[in-house]
Amino acid sequence: MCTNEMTMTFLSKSANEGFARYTVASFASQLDPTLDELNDIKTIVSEAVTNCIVHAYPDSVGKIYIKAKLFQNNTIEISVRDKGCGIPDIDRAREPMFTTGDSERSGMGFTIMESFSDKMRVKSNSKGTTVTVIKRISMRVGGRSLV
Amino acid sequence: MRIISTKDANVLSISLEGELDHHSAKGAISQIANIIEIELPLNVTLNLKGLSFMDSSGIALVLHTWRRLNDFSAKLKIENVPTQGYKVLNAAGIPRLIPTTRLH
Ligand SMILES: Nc1ncnc2c1ncn2[C@@H]1O[C@H](COP(=O)(O)OP(=O)(O)OP(=O)(O)O)[C@@H](O)[C@H]1O
Ligand SMILES: [Mg+2]
Repeated sequence: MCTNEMTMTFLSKSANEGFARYTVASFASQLDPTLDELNDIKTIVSEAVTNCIVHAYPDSVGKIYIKAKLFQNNTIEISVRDKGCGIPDIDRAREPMFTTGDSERSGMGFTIMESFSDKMRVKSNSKGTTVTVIKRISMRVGGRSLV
Repeated sequence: MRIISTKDANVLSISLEGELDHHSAKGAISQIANIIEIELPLNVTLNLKGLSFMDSSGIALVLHTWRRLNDFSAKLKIENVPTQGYKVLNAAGIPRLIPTTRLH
């Protein structure tokens, strides 16, 4: 059961990358994550948002939509959506080191999002792309002081 | 993102401080390239102790620097990598390619 939800929309400007990852991490902190789990969330959001800025809207400024949901089983679901150019071959795009970018890209974004989360789904067509990740936050009996 | 370089007898040390993401990477990559161009060092250490966040843009920065140094047979080491950044570099197999130590 979903216990809380937030949405945010912002322009695909690189100055918003830090803002986006801190906002989602701050929302996720309601699940009492460890510092490592919080860092995983920041990294995932940074990868997904950068992809929208660099790949989805390469020569223009578009909108990026993030939805985050918290679930009763201490899970967070984060969706990052754009209305950009889409990914022609998703399986190929998800392979480590595959990139259509320049030398400032390493082709590791999807690999990182997948390995830092419990599940990643990518949906894409010529109207845009949605990346959804699910991450389970460890339950800590008695709160953070006991861990 | 702040970049500070110091040079002793045979090692050029470049320290990165702050957050390394796509927004800050372009400037950081060219700043590091400039420093290397001027100093033409034989040994370079990237000190990441002050890096509070790094995403895959950091992988590209490291590889960029490593390739440039390879051009004139100079050596690269990465030191004091915080846990979050190490996890990112490790996902790309960087520690198997370039000597990398973690921050304790
Ligand atoms: N939102 C998107 N819209 C369009 N294409 C995308 C999108 N996200 C990813 N892609 C495509 O998938 C490829 C792989 O993405 P991935 O994030 O794994 O690597 P990268 O962005 O190229 O490099 P890195 O993330 O390491 O900087 C991209 O090069 C691009 O072709
Ligand atoms: Mg990417």
